[in-house]
Amino acid sequence: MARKTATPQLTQDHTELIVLSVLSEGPSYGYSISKQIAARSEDEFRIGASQLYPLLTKMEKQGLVETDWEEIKSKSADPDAPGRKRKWYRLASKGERRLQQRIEAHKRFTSLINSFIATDQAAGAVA
Amino acid sequence: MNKIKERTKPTVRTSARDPITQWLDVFTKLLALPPAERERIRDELEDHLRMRVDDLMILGKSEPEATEKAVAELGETAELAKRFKEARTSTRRRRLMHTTMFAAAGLALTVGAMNMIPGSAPMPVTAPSQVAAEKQPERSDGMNRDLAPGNLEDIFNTIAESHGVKHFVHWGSLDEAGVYNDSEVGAIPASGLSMGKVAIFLNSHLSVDGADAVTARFEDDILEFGTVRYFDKRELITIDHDVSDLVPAGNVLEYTAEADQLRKGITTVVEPYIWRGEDAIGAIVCNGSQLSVRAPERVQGKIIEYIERLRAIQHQKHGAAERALDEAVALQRRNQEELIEQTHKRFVEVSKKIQDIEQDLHRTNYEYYTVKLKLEEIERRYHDAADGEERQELGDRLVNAQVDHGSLESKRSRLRYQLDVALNRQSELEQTMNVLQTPTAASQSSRMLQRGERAALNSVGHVADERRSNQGR
Repeated sequence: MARKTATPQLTQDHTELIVLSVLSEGPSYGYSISKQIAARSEDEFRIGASQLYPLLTKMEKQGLVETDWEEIKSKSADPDAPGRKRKWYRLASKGERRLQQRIEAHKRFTSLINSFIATDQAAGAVA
Repeated sequence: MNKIKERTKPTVRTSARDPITQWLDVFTKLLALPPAERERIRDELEDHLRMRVDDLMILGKSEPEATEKAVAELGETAELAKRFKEARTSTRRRRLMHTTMFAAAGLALTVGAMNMIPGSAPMPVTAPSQVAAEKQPERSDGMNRDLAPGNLEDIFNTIAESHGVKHFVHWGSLDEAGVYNDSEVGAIPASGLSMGKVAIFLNSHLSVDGADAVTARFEDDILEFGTVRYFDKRELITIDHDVSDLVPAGNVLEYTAEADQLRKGITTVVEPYIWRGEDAIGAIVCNGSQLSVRAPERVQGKIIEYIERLRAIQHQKHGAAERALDEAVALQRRNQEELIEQTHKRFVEVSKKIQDIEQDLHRTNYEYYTVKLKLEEIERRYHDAADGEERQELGDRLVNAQVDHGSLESKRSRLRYQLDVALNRQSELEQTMNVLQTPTAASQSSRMLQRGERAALNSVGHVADERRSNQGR
């Protein structure tokens, strides 16, 4: 039986990198962002709403993302009644710079960690 | 005794509406942010919850299950509200905000509420220090040094220095808990630890827990130290809960038995020290179907959880009652259908019997009139015949014809009687069917059930039984 490897724990910096990276592919909203992260990590990374939304709030405050609101109306709802509101996030230029910084920092960190691992194992880890 | 400094009392209204709206109402009020910002966060979370519920329902969960899971995934309401608030505070301030709850008599309410659910396995009771470790978020940068053995005053100085802030100690509150500036504290390997974990060591060295445990707050760029009891008194807020779905409405300021039970439940399970004794700081007032609860901010979330748990229990009970009612209505409908079917079957049988009797009567009438004509002919010939052998023979034939005539007459009467009875029965059955097939009959019995008029329903059952028994006769 294959031995299950432990899921790596995400730090705050990793989480920020992941969210910025998802937004670098286009505007999105909270629930969609969390689903994209779960899907792309094959369910290994789950960033819960309790972590994601405060983080997005912080990123907005720091000017890393810009936001827009969209009104959502279900087909069955009363057309005159106000619909649900959806908050869309898109990467701001400051956010793009932050993403690049995070990527560089991550690469450097990975490189340093790899220096402690035997060459063949590191290659395997990268593969 | 410290004077209670009561903050502006926010009023939170919980209601028995849509569970998501209800949760959002509570959550929004717990958000210590400007109203416009609260509304924006509420809108965003509502969108998230509704989409999550839709997804879970697609995966096969019922709506109540999906709603419960979606809300549960957001974690503890008060904690989430705090995270949003922290997301807007400065890095340094955020780091220290995590130090707030050292003692965490915390999960007591959840444990108590879970243990009150009939049929649920009791939750293991966790030691306060353990609770503090589990509940304390590990997001702060932690202390940058270990704490050497020393007196408490030195320890507080070092903690404040480590975080680069000024501090203030509410020694009066610590004195009441038997903790003094010269209380000795052993070495604490605090480097890298969050304040919550440091506090566990600290309280352990000082041998204090619960309301006497040492805790801290970061207010106006100053780190404040005091006991849980001290900060509880300072952070009193009032939340109004609409509990009309849990207790029947009473008069203003009048407790119904159910409201009193709810009050006792809260005061027994949730941080009992708050409600009792000379130093009681909490209060619960029942205004009709509204429960006003005055308690420390940190405890309010637990009270909301407790009330929500009761709601969930009542919802389960209500669901069971609804199912029982549905089953009773279905049973009643089945009985009704069975009765209609039996009546119809009996009607067909009686109709066939009527046909048979009518045919028999027709034949009997024919025979009767034939015999009658024959009898009249024999009588005439008998009276005309001279005395002798022919008259003797006609006399015998006359007697036989008279016997046949009498017998047929009797048979005709019997058949007519049977026909009358069968026709009456047919008419009765027809009327019964008409009554049973009238839509109002079925809906009436359903309505009676739904009104809980079981006695009335039983009487309908008796009538039905009587009808069945009559049919059997």
